[in-house]
Amino acid sequence: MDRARTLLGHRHGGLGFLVLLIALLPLALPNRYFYDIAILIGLNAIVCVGLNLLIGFAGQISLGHAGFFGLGAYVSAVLSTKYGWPSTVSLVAAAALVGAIAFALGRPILRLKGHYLAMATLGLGIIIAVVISTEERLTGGPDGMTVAPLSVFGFALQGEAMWYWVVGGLMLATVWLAFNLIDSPLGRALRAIHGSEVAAEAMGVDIARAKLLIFVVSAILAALAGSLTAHYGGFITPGKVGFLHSIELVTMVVLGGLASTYGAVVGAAILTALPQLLTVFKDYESLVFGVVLMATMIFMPAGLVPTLARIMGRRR
Amino acid sequence: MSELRLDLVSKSFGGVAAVTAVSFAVPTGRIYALIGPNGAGKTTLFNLISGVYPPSTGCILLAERDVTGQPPHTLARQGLARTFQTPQVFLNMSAVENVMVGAHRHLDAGLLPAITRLGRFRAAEKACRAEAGALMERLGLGRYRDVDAGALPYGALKRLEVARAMASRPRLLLLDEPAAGLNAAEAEEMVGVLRTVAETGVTVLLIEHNMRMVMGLSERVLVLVSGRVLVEGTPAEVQGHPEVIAAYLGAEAPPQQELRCA
Amino acid sequence: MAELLQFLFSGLTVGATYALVALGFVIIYNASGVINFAQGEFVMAGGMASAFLVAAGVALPLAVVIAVVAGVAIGVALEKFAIEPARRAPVVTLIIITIGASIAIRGLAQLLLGKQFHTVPPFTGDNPIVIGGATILPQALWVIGASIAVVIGLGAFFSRTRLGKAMLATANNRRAAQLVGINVRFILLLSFGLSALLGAVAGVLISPITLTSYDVGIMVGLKGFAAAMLGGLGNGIGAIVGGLMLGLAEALGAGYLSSAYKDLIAFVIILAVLVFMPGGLFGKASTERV
Repeated sequence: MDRARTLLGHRHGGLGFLVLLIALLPLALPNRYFYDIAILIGLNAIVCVGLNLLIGFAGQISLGHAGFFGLGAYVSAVLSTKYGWPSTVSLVAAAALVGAIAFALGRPILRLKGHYLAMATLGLGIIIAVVISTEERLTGGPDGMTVAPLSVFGFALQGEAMWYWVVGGLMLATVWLAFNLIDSPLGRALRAIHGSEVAAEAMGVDIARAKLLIFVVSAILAALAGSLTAHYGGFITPGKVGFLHSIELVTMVVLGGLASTYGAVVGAAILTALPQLLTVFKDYESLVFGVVLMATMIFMPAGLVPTLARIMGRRR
Repeated sequence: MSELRLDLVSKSFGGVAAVTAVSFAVPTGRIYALIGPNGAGKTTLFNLISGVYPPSTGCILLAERDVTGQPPHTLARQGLARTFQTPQVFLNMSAVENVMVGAHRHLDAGLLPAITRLGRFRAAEKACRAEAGALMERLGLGRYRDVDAGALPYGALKRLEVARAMASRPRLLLLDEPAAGLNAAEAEEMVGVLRTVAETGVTVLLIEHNMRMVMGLSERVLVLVSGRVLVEGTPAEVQGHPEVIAAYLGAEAPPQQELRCA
Repeated sequence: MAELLQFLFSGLTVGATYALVALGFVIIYNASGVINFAQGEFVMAGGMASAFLVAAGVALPLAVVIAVVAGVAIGVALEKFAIEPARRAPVVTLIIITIGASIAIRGLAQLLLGKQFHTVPPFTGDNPIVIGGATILPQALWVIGASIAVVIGLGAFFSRTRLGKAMLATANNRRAAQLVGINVRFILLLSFGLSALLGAVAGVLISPITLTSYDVGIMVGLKGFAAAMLGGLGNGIGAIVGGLMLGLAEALGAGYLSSAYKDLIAFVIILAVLVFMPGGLFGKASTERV
């Protein structure tokens, strides 16, 4: 019984499968609408893999990650669209700013644990969301704002096909990054913190530093995904910054399976695609979504990927 | 040269004095035991030494350097390692990964090396894993190498904690009741493990209630009662001391009776 | 002075709502360790149900009672069908379940009653009463008065009835409560029902003033959660004080500082408190024994 291998999901095999999936998926996608969903899944997956490092592996919690996502989106949008900065520079600047904020606020916040940490991150996320929504002159307020397209070295990235490969590649890079991080002294230190903070400290782990590091990394990943979402869609609204989106992100991670990088991807895929499928239900959409969510967590409390892995392990 | 020295260390928790004016020195390379009835303040002393909280008064010196008030991870980096009364094993990792965490102070825990994974990093990881595996073999845990830590039997968990502590190649090893909860066979295994540990030359400070283990392993014994030092000496001296017998058995015990091991 | 009094009145009114919601959080948390993210939805249910019933021609007093009963029914159903089947799951999972429930309840409300705002007539008319130069709506007096009555009733329930004491015992030490024969599963059901009662009552009281719609529960729930945290999570008195303080801070802040950022105030306060006073105003920092 090797949980390490099961959780990591046969590292190279799984990664190879993911590469194949991304390479071959376009053959199965009938039109632009499905490309769009795939791209959104990829962007959400980037956030979720980062968030999973924080929640699943390091054992912390953040109910405000949409704030980092939205801040990344809006900062890049405002810098590129309102101030005419080159979009790639805006992207990097947004990520750096979010990283700095996460660093500054992370220090005092990460001293908290459990529900208190949850509330602090929740508060932070909401504060960011309200500020963005209220500063209408800059952000367009609740109605949102248009965003300049992303151009790399003068070449504008437009159209679903191009974005599909960019996002696909970035998502693969993020997953690969996550695996490398987990299987390293830093990764083990983070997992040790989750296992027993007292013992981790006794082994020489600088707990405050480690928690802050992973918090900042996950915030920057969220910010990058946010900026890319803004430039891809050409439009951004405060809806993606608020509490509900934060909860959605955590739900994706938990649904897929905590401490499972592939679980984060699967969770992102399902919860991004599901509402699209449910628009068929129109008015019943929210109700069905909520019921499906409850049912899944009741019958598979460990999340999808670990539960499936366990079922398949038993069959062998 | 003492590996560890305490000078008039006291600790109070909101008015309750847990430890009062405790002074002793543990010579380098020796096995030193801390015994006393429950509630005597032994684990408090361990927590003070390992930096979980600072003493109210007094000094703690590691290898003759004042380390009073330093946090656990800093002390760990200076060669202090410990185990816990209730095993604080990382149940979310495999057994070998637990031991690898023990080696943390010798490894590069940076983000960039982890991501870029250059040759030297990969070699270090491989070596760390191999060393952890070898350590587990030496302590009789070889067959649990890649097993989920949560699946290990209790006796193996206790030994795993010792392996994890030894992975840091410490100068001073604090063992908090290594035999607690073990049956006779497991306790024998633990004695074997501790002898292996002692052979490496590490200084050991041991809290234990199992008198057989204490008297059989240690070179000096400190008796703590109600937070104060009662007596300090060789196992034989302590065993026959009337006040020690009185503390354990009650004042009515006849003075001739020696402290028999169970 | 009159202006200050005005803000105090509105602060107390909305604070009373937060206090009731916060109490609901604390009751469920104490009984199960779960943060019930559907708490705000009980408030919404109370308000929306009474709006619907009144619009359908039911007399207001009866509508209010039925609305509260409906809220309690939702709370009990939530515990019975969503929480209890998953009782062995880790707390994070349970929290996600309550989140799913809140989405489902909101979806149901939106399905049945649409996305628009609904009105509920005030209990005793809407002629503002003048006190000390400031005006206060009669409904606001109802909010404050009824909240006080509910809190006193709750206090009596916990300290004088056997069932109430059983709830306190379960909150204190679940295993011990089981061992003395307390039916812990029933207590859990009761705690959800009680929390829903508090939420629904808050909802029927406040909707004549603030209007109601399918998503009013979100912010109210979050601020109630913040109020419960402010009071140290787990402490009933703390929850009430937290709720009132948050309501007052919001009213005063909106009045004197910036009304656009009104929603921010509660969260800035809670963030500041968490950073500087991690145990809340009344909580105690506990140490882990190893």
